[in-house]
Amino acid sequence: MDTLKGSPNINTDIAANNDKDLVELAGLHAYTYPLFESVLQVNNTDYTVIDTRYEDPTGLDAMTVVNMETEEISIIYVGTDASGKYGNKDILTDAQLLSDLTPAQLAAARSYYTEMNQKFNQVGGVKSIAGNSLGGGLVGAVAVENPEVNAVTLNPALLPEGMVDPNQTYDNITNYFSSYDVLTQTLIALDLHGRIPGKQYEIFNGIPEFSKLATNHTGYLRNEDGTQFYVIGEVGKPGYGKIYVDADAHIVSSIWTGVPLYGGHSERIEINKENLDLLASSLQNHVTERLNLAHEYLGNSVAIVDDEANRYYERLSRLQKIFEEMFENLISEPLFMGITSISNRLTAEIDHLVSLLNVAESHAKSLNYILNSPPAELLEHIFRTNVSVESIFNEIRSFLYDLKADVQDLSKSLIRIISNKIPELFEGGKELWYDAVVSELKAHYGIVNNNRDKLLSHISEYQKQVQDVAANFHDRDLSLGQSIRSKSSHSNSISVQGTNTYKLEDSPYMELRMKIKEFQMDTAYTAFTRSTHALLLPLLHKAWVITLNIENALELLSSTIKGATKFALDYTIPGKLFGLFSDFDDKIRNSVNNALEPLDEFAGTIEGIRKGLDRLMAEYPTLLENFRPYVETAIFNNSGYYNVHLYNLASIAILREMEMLFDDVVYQLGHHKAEAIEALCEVSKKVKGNMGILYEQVDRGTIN
Amino acid sequence: MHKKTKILLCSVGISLMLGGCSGMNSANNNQKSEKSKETQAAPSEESLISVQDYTGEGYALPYGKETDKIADESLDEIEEAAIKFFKEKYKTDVTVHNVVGAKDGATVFVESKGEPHFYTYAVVPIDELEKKVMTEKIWADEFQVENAIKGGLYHMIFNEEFKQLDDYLETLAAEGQVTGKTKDTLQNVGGHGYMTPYYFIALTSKEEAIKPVYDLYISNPDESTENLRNVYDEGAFNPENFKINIQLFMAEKQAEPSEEIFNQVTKELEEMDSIPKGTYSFALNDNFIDKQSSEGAKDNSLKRGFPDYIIKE
Repeated sequence: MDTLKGSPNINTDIAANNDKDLVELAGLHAYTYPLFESVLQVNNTDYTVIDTRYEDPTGLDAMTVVNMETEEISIIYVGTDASGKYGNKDILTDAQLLSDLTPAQLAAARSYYTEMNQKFNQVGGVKSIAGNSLGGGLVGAVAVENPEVNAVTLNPALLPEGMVDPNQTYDNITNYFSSYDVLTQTLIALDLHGRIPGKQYEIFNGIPEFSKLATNHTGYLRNEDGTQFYVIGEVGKPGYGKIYVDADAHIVSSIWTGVPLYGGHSERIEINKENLDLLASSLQNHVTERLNLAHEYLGNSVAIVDDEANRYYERLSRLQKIFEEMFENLISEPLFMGITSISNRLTAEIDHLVSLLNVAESHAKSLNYILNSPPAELLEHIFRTNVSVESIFNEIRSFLYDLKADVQDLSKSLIRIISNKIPELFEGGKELWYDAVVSELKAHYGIVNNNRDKLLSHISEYQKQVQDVAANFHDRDLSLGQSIRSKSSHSNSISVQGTNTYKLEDSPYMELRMKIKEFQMDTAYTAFTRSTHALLLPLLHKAWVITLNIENALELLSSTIKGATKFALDYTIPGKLFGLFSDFDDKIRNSVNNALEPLDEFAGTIEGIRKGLDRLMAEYPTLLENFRPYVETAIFNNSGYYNVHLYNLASIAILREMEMLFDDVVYQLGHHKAEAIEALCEVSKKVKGNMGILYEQVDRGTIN
Repeated sequence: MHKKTKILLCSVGISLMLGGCSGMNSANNNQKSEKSKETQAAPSEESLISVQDYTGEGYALPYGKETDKIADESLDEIEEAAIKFFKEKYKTDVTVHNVVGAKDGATVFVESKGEPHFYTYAVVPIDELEKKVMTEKIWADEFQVENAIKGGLYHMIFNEEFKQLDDYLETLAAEGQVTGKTKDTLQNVGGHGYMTPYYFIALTSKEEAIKPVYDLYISNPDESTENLRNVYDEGAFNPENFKINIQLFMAEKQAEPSEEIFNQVTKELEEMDSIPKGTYSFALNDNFIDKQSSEGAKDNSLKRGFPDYIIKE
């Protein structure tokens, strides 16, 4: 860390090596087996490997490095391969194995420390040790016995039972747990983290995804250009970007001393020109750089949200199309194809049924005609017979008209569902938006965006003030000295950047955080289910009853026709007599057949419709179930929504870290007699406050 | 010639040669190493191999088992990408010798063709879930590659001085008591810049004297050695920043590192004044090398290094 250099009053004992360097050495470089006397570059500092131990019979892998700037020596213990056959299980196995099977390796780790410490005794001995995973466990084992060594671990394994004294604090050991590390999170869940000695700090690196398991564990990945990031989203699409995961960049350390700030404040430093300059340059470089990264993440979130907003109609019409298709394909009955439009096949079919009915009726009429005009020879035997079916025909016809009207109502309702009810799935939220989730996020980001700009201006103004104060401190001291010596009064013009008010705007939005989508989904979908049920089911049921009535009437019709003629032919006169006039009874039979034939087709169709309606009623809940995921994606594209969450998570990690950093700045500037420092302290409090506000606002954009 | 055949076979994908390249035997080794990890306290005798027999076989990087398999299926593609990468970014023609699975990617060991001569590596990211090799995202640790090239340039412009050192070490080896790493080892798992069987060069980021040479070379790879030598900034040289790390092995399997030889070599190194200026470290190991890490320095090694280097000013 460059902050270490050129600062006169730095307590270098606290951190022999910068924790960040140690974490990177343990999580990244240790896994590449550097050769004896090779040079590594870590955060712009050179390290020489001055000893290696890769062939120990206990399986111990370790190396000793020297920081070429400070000449301080550290041992890095190498962790095990967690990506072995059983993936995450391996990590746990590591931890468990460590509990009873590997004292040999622990002993080897300890003796390696002793050996190196002695070997390099002349040049200060081993100042610090570090390790990741199993290497972290080894570090713990060494450090509990050697309280003078500074120990740093990243996602360490636990120690065998009994090795950690619960009554001791082990202040020399600092453990960093990545938020999404499986090993340490599991240990915490099992309440075994007590067996990891020393301070335990969470660092917010990594990505909460199962596939990132190994990387979350080591804190590093080998990526393009050696940079540590994950690619989010797809190339060319809004929100395509990177999230950086390198563990050490997430360790917050004091601007002045480089001491990690997790355990509280850094040791009090003297506020002088140099240290104010250091603050100013750190604000200009490190802080702004980190905040810019946070803003880049936010920018990607905003891009995703904007894109969703722009695609509202696309999302809506896709959803409408899906519903339409789902409904039509719900029952594999061709008659119902196109039911979602007014002129559909079913109504056409009903018209056809009317014409079939007309045909049947005309045949029935001609049957009556035949029955009423028997040959003269038979007349004396025959009482005129009339098959009275007119009323039945009329009834069926009227049923058909009812059915047609109902089907048309059904189509209208479906159209209404598609054009009104589906858009309602999107509506709601704080301001009754037509695209609730997206709009709320958008509205929220409108405010957040504004606030992040304000915060940046605030910080750059603050940085200017620090710089000005530092300069004036120096000048004034000089000129006062001169004045005293020359006995002449000296007027000084002081120019310091003035303080402006940067009040961040409150956001009334996202009170449900990223749950808004879930909430929208639940409320809107319940309403959709209810209203579409209410619209569709009565109509379906009504149509179903009509078809049943038609079927009954048809039954009656055909039995009437058959019955009447049967009566005429079989009972009124002796059958053999008809035989003499064969032509006549054939005519009757033909006519009956002609009348009944269209009715057969008719009955078949009606039955098909009834069954179709039956199935529609039964299957509609299934449709709703299948439709749901589409709605979920349409309200806000799932992966986009998740990426917003990821970006925001990455962004708040930084804001959280910067808040921690400013906490230390406030502490260091606090309680100084100089008015100027007091004033700076006030401003830094405000900056910190604003960071807190922004943090809280961005945090609302995460799922948890 | 041998080298060429090997590359050819590698790219043809004959499984036997693949083994030599990385696939087969690193799988074997991985099984072993996995076993040793699982039982934690596995004996490591089997991880040691006589330096004369070692060719890089068995070298394995942590978290590399899956990626190794995936890389094996795309060797041609990886080789092509690596050659293109070094040509484009460092204007250097390289030969690809070996591909070893590592965490999130595969390490590709390469050797420059001709001068400046050096070994280095690139990394090809691999998506383990998708089983995809992302050759378009090939990258290299800039610090390492630049140092490798700079070391090679050093060797080029101080050819005379290095010849003194090389002759001395070769004569020493010819006497039969000590030996160095095999050429195959350097090629397959070297990667540490300018390397010979007996030493490698390491530079710190503070090494400025070679910088103008490097800049000139990168702007014109065909620049004559003389011109390169002319821009070398003698005044900026600080021996602390230029390290020559010598590592010798006992030629006999049973031999412990010889105190006598160690003392002799350190004394002679201290006395020689025509060898290159810089910081010298020296390790004399027994006959064995650790397969997985390719490191020869061990517990019993006799070492002269930090903080007591041999410095030639």
